Amino acid sequence: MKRLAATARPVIPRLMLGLISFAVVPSLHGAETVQSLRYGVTLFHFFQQDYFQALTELTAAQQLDQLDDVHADKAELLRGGMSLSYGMDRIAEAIFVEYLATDLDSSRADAVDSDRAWLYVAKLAWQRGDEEKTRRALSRIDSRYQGALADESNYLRASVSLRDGNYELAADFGEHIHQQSIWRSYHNYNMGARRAAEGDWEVANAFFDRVEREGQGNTEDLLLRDKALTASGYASIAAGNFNAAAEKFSKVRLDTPLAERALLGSGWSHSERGDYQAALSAWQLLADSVSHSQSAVEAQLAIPYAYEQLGIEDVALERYRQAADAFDGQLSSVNETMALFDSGDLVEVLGARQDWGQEWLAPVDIFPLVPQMPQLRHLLTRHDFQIALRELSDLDRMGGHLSQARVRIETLVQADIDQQRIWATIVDGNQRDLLSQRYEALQVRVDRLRDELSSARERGDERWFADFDQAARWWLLDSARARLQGQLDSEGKIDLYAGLMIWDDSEQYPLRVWEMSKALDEQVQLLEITQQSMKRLDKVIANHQQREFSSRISDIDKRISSQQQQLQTVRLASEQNIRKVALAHLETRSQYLSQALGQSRLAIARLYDRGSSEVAR
Amino acid sequence: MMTTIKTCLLVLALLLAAAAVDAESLDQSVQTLKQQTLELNRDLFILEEELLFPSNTQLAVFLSLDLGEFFALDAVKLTIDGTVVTHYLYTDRQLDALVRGGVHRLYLGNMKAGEHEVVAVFTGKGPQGRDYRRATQMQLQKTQGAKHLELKIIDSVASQQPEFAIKEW
Repeated sequence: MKRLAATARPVIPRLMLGLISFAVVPSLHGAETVQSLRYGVTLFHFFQQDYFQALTELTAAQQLDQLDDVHADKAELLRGGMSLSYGMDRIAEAIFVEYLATDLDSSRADAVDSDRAWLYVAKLAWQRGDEEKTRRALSRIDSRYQGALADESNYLRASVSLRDGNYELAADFGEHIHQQSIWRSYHNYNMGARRAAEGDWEVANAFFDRVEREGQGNTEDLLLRDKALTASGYASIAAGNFNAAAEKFSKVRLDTPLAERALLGSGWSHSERGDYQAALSAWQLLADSVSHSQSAVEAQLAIPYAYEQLGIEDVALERYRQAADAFDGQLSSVNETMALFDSGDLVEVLGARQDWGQEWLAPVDIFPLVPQMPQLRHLLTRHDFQIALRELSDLDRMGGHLSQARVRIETLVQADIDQQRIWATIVDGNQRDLLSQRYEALQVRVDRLRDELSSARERGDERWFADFDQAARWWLLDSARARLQGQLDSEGKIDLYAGLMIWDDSEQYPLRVWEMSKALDEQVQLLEITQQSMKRLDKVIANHQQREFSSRISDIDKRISSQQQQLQTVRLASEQNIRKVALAHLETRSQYLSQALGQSRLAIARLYDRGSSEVAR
Repeated sequence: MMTTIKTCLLVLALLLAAAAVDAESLDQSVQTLKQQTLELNRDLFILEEELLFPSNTQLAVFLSLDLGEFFALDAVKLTIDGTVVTHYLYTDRQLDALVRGGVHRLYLGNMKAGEHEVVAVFTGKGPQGRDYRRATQMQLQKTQGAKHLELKIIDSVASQQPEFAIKEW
């Protein structure tokens, strides 16, 4: 029943899921009117689980003070949640604690409830095994808290009480969890597992039965149900109730991770009843699978045992031999894999995978087809190996980010050089001064024109306003008058023409004054626009002179180099950690297989001895 | 036999305990490095924006989706003053993020002060799963200071049709 005791631990992956499904986002069931673009962009990355980009966007918005009041309040909590999802639980915890230390304006309708934040702190502490801190954080949650995470908080309270051995209090907290909540099922499972670990089989099974009965039928519920049924089956075997055990095992689905344990248990439950044929069916199914799990190894030993019990010793002998060969082969494979982890290139051992996404722990084959695949699969079922591998993949992804940062900073260096060159021609090359001179010359001409217009109006000089054609005619007339001076006939005609033109000027005067004034006003407006552009240019020049990009670029460049060096060091440590964790597990597996090999060889020798005794000596 | 197993387990437990201590400090180092890389990326992001897209010329165009029952977005083509500046195809995952309230930064660029024409063409599936293509346009007066536009796709319950609009922030 050692396995049952192990399953009584809090379900850490479930806790992580709870934390990842962070709830300070506007709505998961439909968008609201966008209130803050930066916040919206953060959520766009967050919902795609691209926490690196989401955190970059959010922290940049915070740094630039570009969040409105509502989102500024929520931002820290969101940052905490995303930091957690990005594997920075210590930083997340620090954010939550700091957030909770500030004066929260609980009267605001949009304020994030502090109870929820305290729950995150409690969960993080619980995950890290800090029970005292967990208790302290839980005590800060209002006992009347009925928010979205109320069930989860009662689950955690119950788990803490269970750890203390206070079953009554744990059960009391469990009663406060809603019937339909998955947390209720987890609580019941933990209660059952704890009682089973203490050998209280009847009570344990009662809790496991609740998990089976009360589940809601979703994927998570079904998985937990399989787990409870398996645990209940083993508890029933321990209690000597083999029929009940067989029934429990038979309800476990065959396409789940629990199937192997259930098949093994099913075989034992039939075997204990003396139904070795039924036991063989279950064990054979398990032995035929490609799995190298502990259950499969046990099944390979259990099959010949069943044949022995049935009195078919020749088949038993053959199956022991097959088992011994299989264990021998697996042992060689384990030893080879250990040698690879000990001194091989880790990239080759794990397969050169650079595309591990954020969800690389999804139940898919993440390793390439390599000879050590069965051992890698076994390792991947171990929590600490998963964590170590995740760390390495995170470091590789960070290496990618830093390489990209290097390329981006080089682009900025070039952009800064180009801009400096352009500015040099604008500021140092007197382009701005030349523009200013041209503007001033235009201004002078417009002013002069305005004065002349004003003066002509005062004089009533209608001819001054003549348009281009009329001015040309006046010029012709004046020229003709000068040439024909003294010729009376011609002078008379010229006077007549002049009179007509004066009449025309007089007629057109109001229109021409209006047109001229309008044209002048337009010119003045254009000059004003030009003046505004000049002011803008001056402002841009002033701003540019204030901004010093080169020192910032240089600073970031140095930080990239420094972090790349640090990364190398940490990556080396991470590789060593993976090797250490893998070797520890493989060593255990090697010992287990050696033991199984020894048992099978011993059984072979025993059967040979038994056969020999039948021969007359 | 039982003694051997117990001894092995004890040795293993000690091994794992030692590994846990190392893993603890490694975990801390990884988290610190992650935080530093994030801070670096943030500073680089801000610097890029200030250097390449200064506020006096900056134009940023965002896209948001409200519900999205009457229109399943496939792609957006953005044209400014007759020039296509971006043509973006959305993945299912991105669409899901938009439906849940995310906002996509579709375009970030520079623009001179003055009047400009912005045209967005949306393609996707409309009501009853039919191919749907609609455009929306706006005349934009770019003044000093960064200009932010939001392309909005909204479900109109009254007309049972999607509506497309551009909001100036």
